[in-house]
Amino acid sequence: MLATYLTKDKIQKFNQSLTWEEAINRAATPLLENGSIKGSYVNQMIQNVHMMGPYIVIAPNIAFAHARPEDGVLQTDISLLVTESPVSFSAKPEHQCQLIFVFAAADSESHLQLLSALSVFLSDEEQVKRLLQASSVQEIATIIQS
Amino acid sequence: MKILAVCGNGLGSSMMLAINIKKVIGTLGITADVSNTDLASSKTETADYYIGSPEIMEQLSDGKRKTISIKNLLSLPEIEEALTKYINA
Repeated sequence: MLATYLTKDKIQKFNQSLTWEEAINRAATPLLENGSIKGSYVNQMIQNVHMMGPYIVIAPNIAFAHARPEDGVLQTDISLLVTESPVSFSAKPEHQCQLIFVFAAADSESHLQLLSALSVFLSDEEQVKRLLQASSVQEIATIIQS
Repeated sequence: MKILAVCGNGLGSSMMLAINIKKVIGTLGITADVSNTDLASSKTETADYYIGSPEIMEQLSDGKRKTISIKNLLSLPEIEEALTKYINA
């Protein structure tokens, strides 16, 4: 299920430091380019963090940027940015992330299976470690497909 | 018993948390109605327990609501420990 959505063309690796706003913008690019989301969705994801704090940091090293279907989602989709230097979502060490997911849900129900699969995948710390150590986008895609 | 998983948007992270809470309460033998919502709606929705990331729980805590903070929404052991501590106490 995860591998169906999170294909190689939606995975990026980046080796320079980024602010969290830049990281969300960059992570969202594949979904803007393939028409899954509109620019308004990206702005809203960033706005939400400004308004409600770094709640998108869902686990150590993992940010899960998202907004609501009506903020500009055209189809359910997901993308991933893996950064070599951690992105700070606040001044606190627990808000540093190297895996930045952008998640877009076209409605509030259909993506349940995708989230369930992602949750199982990311709760395996070994998998997360392998993602962080991967040296190329191809390698990341292979780990997700396995 | 009603448990409300809360995040900024009411889907995405809160839905993932709700999925994991359902897994955990099954093994703990707790019977509860688990749903997820956004921060704004959660302020007017009544539940026995509100659960979410510390940033969201801080904004929801008013001294009356029972809030449970979870740092790692993907960690079944952390969710299990928190639910055991708060709900069975």
